[in-house]
Amino acid sequence: MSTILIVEDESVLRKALRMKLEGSKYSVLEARDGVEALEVLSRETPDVILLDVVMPRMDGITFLRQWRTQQNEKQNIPIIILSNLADGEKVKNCIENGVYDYLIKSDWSLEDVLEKVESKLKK
Amino acid sequence: MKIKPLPPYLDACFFLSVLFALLPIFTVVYAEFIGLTSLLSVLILILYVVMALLFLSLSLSLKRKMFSKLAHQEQTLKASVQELKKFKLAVDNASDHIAITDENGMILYANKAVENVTGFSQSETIGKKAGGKDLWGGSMGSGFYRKLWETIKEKKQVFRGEAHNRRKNGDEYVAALSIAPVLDKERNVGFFVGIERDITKEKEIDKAKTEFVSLVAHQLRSPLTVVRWYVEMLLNREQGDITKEQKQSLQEIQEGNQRMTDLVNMFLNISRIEMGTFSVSPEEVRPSLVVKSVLDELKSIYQKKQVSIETELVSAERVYLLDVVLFRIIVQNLISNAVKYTPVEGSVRIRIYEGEESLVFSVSDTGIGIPEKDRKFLFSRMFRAKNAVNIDAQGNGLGLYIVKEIVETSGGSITFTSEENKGSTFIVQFPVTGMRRKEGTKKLSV
Repeated sequence: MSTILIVEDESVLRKALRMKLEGSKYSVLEARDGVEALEVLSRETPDVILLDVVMPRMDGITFLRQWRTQQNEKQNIPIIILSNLADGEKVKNCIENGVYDYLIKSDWSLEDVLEKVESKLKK
Repeated sequence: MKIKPLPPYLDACFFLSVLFALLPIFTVVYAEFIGLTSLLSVLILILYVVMALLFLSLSLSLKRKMFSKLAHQEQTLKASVQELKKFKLAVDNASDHIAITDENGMILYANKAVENVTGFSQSETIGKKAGGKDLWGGSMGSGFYRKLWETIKEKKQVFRGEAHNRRKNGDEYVAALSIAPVLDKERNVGFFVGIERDITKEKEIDKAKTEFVSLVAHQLRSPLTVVRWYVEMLLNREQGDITKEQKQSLQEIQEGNQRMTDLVNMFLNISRIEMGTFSVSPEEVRPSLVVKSVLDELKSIYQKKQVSIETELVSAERVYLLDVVLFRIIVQNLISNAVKYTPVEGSVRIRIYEGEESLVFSVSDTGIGIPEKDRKFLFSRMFRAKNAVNIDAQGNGLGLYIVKEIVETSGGSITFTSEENKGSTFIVQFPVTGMRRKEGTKKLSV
């Protein structure tokens, strides 16, 4: 069974993603911001990371930069950005950190997100 | 006006009257000598006197006439001077910055607003280069000044633009400027008149407004996502069964939510367009495939209306340099408009072909057409033609505005022909070499 890490500060969105993913037989890990995500990643190895950008304490971009400084085998975990802020600068920062999937939450259904996760798992 | 010198005949009249006045003296002295009878000499004497009086009165009346004419001339001259003074006073005190320069841009005259706006006094500006580094200018790229001089000096046309200038105290300000060459009869540049208006405040307000729209739009996306995802779960019966009525209601919610999401995206796109921050990144794109994918997306809508779609597209292999996101927005808007405003069982024809040196995308419909009086406003923001509102009250009047902005920013053009109740054709053209690249910080979203 694959494990998905959801990094999202809004609990109501985290909950929806968790229900959808668990309903499709995935196990789910949660983090409320970048700091928590780094903590979770220090002990767990998820198969896909869903990452929000605008979060308190440590935002998604800062998380990505710090995460990329760590040299470990977990760097291969695919990351999908799920954000409502499609600022060109932010998209560019993500691409610079090797993340090309940038989804606008309000434009994507849960079903679409699930499909995206599955396509990442197949690779 | 020209002042005429006194005419020579005036002097001649006066001379003649004096001559005739003197002649009797000679007559009296020489009458005996030349043997005139006294009667004849008296007659001649009277004749001389009459002639003298005649010329004298003629000369006087002419003089009087002359003087009244002169007085009139003086009066008009005074009035003209007064007019000129008034005119100068008006220019001096106009609220816009006005400067007159010679053909090399050296300042000959500057009004008071120049000092108010730039901080440089009249004595500091006269004789210096208008908009040069010594004064308020020099902050724009060299291309700006090249274009300015080319327009006013070579093409001899009015230059209009916006410039970021610097006041004497170092503050930057934004000026809307217009510089006009004043030509003589041979169409040589005599001098230039430059008018500038300080629009810094307007610009700031405009930017704040646009940023506000962008902020609000982003904030709106979160609650929209919540509604979207939870309604989706309910509709998928992930939280238990629902009745037919409940399903219908949930679908209504979903549709309303989608409309709001589209609106938010549209607002974001507009604010990016108005902030000038959207980028055009051409890459190899197959336009026929873009059209096909948009048609797939709109399938349920045009099938429901039984609108038939005809396509005539360049081969799917043909590649052009286009920004795929922007091209999709253009295609999506024009096709969905055509479908929306075409009655049941009508038809829509979509073509992509290579014209002379251009890539052409056209959409024709058999729809309601555009009323003649609405045509010139069609691409204005939030404008909707009257007959369009009757068909779909929900439209926001932003689609064609966005399309035009995108097409023009990326180096293309858009035109249309239309006949009311018969249909419309929209034609978008790009150079065969593709869209023009533009750097920017934000991507538009579909």
